[in-house]
Amino acid sequence: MRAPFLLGIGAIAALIIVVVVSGYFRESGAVGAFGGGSAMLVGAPAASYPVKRVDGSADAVDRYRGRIVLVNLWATWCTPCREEMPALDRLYMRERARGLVVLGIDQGESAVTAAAFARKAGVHYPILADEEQQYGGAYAALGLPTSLLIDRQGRIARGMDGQLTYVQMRDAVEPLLMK
Amino acid sequence: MKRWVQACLASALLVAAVFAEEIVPTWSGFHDWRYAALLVVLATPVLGYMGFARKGGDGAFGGRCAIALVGALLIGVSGLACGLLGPDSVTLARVPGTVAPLPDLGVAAFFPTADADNVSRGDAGLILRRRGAPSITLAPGTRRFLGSYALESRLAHAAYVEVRDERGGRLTITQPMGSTFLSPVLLFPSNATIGRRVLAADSFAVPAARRKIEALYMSARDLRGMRTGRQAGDRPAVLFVVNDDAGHLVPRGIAMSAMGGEARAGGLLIRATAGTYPELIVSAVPACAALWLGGGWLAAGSLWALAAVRFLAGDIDKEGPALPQPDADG
Repeated sequence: MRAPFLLGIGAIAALIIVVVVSGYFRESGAVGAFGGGSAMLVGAPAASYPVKRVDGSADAVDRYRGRIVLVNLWATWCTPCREEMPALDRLYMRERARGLVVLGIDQGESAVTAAAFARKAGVHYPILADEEQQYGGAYAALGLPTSLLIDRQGRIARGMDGQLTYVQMRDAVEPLLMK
Repeated sequence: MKRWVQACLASALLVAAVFAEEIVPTWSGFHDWRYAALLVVLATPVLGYMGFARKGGDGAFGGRCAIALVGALLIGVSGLACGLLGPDSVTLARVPGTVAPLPDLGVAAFFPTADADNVSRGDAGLILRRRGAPSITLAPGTRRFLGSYALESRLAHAAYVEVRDERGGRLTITQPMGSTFLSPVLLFPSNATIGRRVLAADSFAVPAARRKIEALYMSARDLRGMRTGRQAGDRPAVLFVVNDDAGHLVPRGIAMSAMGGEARAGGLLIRATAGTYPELIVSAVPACAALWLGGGWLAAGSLWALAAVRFLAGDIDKEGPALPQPDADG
């Protein structure tokens, strides 16, 4: 009577010990598995903050829910950003009828500075001035320019670091426009 | 000392040593071999007594006591597993508006957006979003246990920085060495020594002005201890050192911004709002389920063992001989 009882107690204890120990093996890789850059945000809801357009009106990324949004983080001092602008403008003009919106969000500069530059560059897509760099922080930009593609449900579909060519932009946008 | 007393004392110390992991989970000593050795040493008399009781030592009381001590051993094993297998504590300092995913815990930690006022007040709470469960707001200084981990929010030095040119036009701030490139919030991850004082330090760049700027966080105590030529208040300040692209100090390149005031340095107007922002500390702890189970087992078993003593004592009182001697070999 006594031996089977003790054996049972021992077996239960051993089972609990195995469960506890195996839990650590499963979870030991839990901490430190952090990536970086905007690409890690794929699938996450796109953060949105109210900022001003360079014409003074209020705007935000979440205003464009239901459309495909290509967010381009840039600044006037950033040479690759400036070089990328004609391709962004061309893409916007060609695809806006299919539901594409390009938002150029200037990081950390005054609206006046961004407006003067956008006028000179002759871009047609909306330019927003994010003086407090909220989008740059939330979208985990590793540098400038950084582009993010947001689907019609408001989720981040792609995050792209660095200057893009027109072909790269078109190839990224096309699958979402087809849906 | 009687053998069962030794075993109970050792088990109490064993349980206390493991619960210490829950109280101060960030202490690195829990992941050291010496802590594991301590747990094994404390468990040895417990195991010894269980073997002794299995052979009939201390009679019915001994058997029940040994079963109760299984609970203490369970707690000990969970503590040992945490110490040996659990990762060291990790401090996650992220800038406002970012997310730190902890995929295996099923948690994503959201660091809330913060402007200068939030940093100054230092009251931002972290939000833990869990799969299929309600979100948890972790206020500064609080801790939550999730499975085999403790998540704690602790306030750390931070400063919200704005930089303008001489005409007042705002300029982009970048943090090439920081965790987030485009953030105006400095988290001061490193240290610098001035005199004999160790100050929290950070750096950022203003690409439009071709400037690299070092920032040193000065608490109110630091300010009182230094001859800054400024009346020391109870608010922290930030000392800026402005360098050119090549890293050389520019003329008139040192200035201090206190209480959100603007400082002029190296042709720039710099405003810093010094305060605090939460960081998340993730530490391995003994599994809560194992502790509850072990604790419950120990408590129930102890009551059962005590009942045996009372029962035996009652029998003996009726029969008249001396009180029972549960410890046969003393």
